[in-house]
Amino acid sequence: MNRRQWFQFGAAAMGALIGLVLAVPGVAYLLSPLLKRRTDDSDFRTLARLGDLVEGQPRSFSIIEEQRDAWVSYPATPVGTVWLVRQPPDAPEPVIALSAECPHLACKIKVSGDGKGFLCPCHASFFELNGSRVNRISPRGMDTLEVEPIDPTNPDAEIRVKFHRFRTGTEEKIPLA
Amino acid sequence: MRNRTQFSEWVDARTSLVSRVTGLSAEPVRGGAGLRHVFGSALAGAFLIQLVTGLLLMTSYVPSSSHAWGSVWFIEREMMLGWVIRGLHHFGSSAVVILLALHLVQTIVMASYRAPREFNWWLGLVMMFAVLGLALTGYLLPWDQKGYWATRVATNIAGTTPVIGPIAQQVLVGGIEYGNQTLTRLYGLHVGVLPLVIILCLLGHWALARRHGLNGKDRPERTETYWPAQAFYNLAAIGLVLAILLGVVIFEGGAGLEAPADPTGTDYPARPEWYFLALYQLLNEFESDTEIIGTMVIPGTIVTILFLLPILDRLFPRRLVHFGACALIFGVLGGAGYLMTKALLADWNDAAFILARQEADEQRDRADQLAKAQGLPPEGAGYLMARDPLSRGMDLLEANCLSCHAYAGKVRVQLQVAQPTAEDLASADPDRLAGLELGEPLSETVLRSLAFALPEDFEAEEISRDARDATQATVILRGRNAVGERVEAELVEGRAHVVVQTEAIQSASDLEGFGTRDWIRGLLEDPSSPEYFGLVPQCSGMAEWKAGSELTPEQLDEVADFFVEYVIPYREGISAAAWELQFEDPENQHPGYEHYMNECANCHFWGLGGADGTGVDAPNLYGWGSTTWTRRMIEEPGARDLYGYLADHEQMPGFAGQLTREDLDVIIRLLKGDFLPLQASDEAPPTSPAAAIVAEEASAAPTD
Repeated sequence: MNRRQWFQFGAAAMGALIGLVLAVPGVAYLLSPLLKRRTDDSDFRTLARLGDLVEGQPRSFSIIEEQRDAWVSYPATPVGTVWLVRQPPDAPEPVIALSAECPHLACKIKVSGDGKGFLCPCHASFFELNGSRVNRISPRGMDTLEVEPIDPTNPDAEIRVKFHRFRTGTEEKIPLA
Repeated sequence: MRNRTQFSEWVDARTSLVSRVTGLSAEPVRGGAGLRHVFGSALAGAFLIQLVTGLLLMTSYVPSSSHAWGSVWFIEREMMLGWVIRGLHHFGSSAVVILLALHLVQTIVMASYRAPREFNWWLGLVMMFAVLGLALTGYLLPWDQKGYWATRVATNIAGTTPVIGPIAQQVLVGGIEYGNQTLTRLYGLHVGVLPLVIILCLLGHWALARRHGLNGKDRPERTETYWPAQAFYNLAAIGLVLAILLGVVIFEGGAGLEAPADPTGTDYPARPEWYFLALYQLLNEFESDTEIIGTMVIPGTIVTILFLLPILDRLFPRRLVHFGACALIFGVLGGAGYLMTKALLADWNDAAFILARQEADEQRDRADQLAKAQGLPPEGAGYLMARDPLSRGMDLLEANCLSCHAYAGKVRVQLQVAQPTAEDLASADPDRLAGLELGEPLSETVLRSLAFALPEDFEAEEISRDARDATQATVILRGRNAVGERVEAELVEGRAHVVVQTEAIQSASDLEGFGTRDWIRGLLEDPSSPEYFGLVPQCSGMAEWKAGSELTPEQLDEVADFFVEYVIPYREGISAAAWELQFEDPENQHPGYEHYMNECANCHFWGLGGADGTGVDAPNLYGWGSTTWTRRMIEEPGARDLYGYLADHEQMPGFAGQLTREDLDVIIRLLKGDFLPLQASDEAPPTSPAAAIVAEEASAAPTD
């Protein structure tokens, strides 16, 4: 290797090293959000009593939680909405809980005008009262949430639901960690 | 050069970019490639590092007085390698300043300011000011104590400029008060205006440098071109700078972040970054009426001469001007070095500074702990410490309560640091302390220092000399002043300062745990302990009750439980009578309530109790221990239902109107122990302030 080649090699190596030393922490820094895994500490929380619900009339309830937004802690504020739907007496579950977050693009789902289904106002996804799709705009039906088993005959039984978020735009229901 | 590909031909035909770069690379380097040409490139490289790390920081930083600190804390503690990025940016500013100084010195020594390079010189000087401006504005951005106080000083210096000063200051600060507008303005300068100025000047500077070629002797035998020889040296220099930076960042563990800015604090030891220390010290060299010489006249003259250098070069003999310029720059650097050393030495020997620094460190660690555990309140970092019972609450307690009360056995200790000069020592009277018995005699200097530091009315009681540490002996002298307060003087032999602590005399209860079960149970057990009413003869009622009471410890437990269950959880808006009705029902009778009615209710009432509720010499206990009750006790202890039965001089002074609602709450939370416990630190806490000073002096690095 002659002097010139040595310089060429050295300059290239040095340049690459400098770039690397800056790029590695830089990329790691920018990718920090990917590493922040939220542990699944969500618990069943009481939203209503069985007697509060009437069959065929979904009611929405707020999920209230203390929130940590990067470095700020906010006191308990609504962070999400859940639709509770009372089922007919012969159904296996007395109540189903549906997340109001549309699986299409995360707009907030409301009850449709005739009260017989759900509608997402952003892109007109329609859903049945049990959350299944009416049209094919959303890739899947509304996301059901886990409800703690309750005694269907006791109107005072507390309806307890585990709130979760799911990835949007996929056919499969994938929980967001 | 390697063969051009078709693609590069295609690009070159349209942009001539390839041939331009090739042409520059093939330019010969005057006098051959070498390290003497690297300074400009290394400076540009360091600036580029700042640009990259700065842009990265911008993706997470918030320029707002409520959230700047939090965002920087988040970068530092939560984001992956954020501390490295911020560390590189922080120490990178030092690298830029050092390289700038080297480049400047080299330019002057080589007389490169001469024709035809005048514009290179002027552009360079403009960039120098932009760089110093970046350093100054960047210091504030974390909105921590350090940046806040240092910037207050810097902008106030700007404010002393004749005529335009005050206006300039107000425009820069965005008003009179330092806040959101200060941050957004300085942020705009830091990330927009100044970098733009530098980049534009740099392009011109660089183009002109190409046009005029490098300065230096021609050496015909050396024929290297810019690429690859000089490029290698330049990159090697930048690599070295980066390596040193990275080493410093890792060694220092990042840039560090002080507690959030507290505009009400008074004892933060503000110091500028090291490269401004000389200016800071220059300011201290002058009295207030001549201060402008240090802040304006001297720096202004130097700057003017530098700007005029190419012109002076034409007007006066060139060699004389060159000699003068070299003398000036080395004089300035030498002077700056002298002033900097002086400033560092002054702090090094200043016990008050070291104590303030120690307190600032404690606050920094506490802020970090609070942010980690609880996050910042939505209102911003300013409330992080203000809502912390151990920070704000303890400060308030010390200022307002601990001259009579104790907290966890501690009363208020006033700390003074005496630093006698030679004259002070000469005039001090060592005979005052004559007759102190210690195994070995104390030196005359020690006696004189102690005599100077201690108050006139000091009566010595006990002296000890601890020489276990081979390098230094500590002398501690204990005694009392005329009021009977304990006074303790601590001095390390061979050091100039004496730390004098004066302890208040406890004359009221210990407030730790007030409003909790522990406190009331302890009171019921032994009311005449100094923790309760032992030091308060006017409150002897409880002791008298205790002497005649036959309640067993279990029954006392029940009374305490009754308080925890029914009294302390007071709810506003329910009258005492309505509240008491719940105990009418025999089913609901708490055993503690029964004992209470049998024994305590003879003196203490709920609400109006008997005829008018004021005839008995005891405070009304409805809601005792609740925030409401305690708040009222602090504000109006002399109210008729509290301690109004005592003579005025026997009552606790009331604090109505002196403390805000938030301050009262934070004090009450402190009493109840409702706070995040202090993190157990890795190092054992220093045993005494003097020991802390010694430890600090041994470990503190003088820079940064």
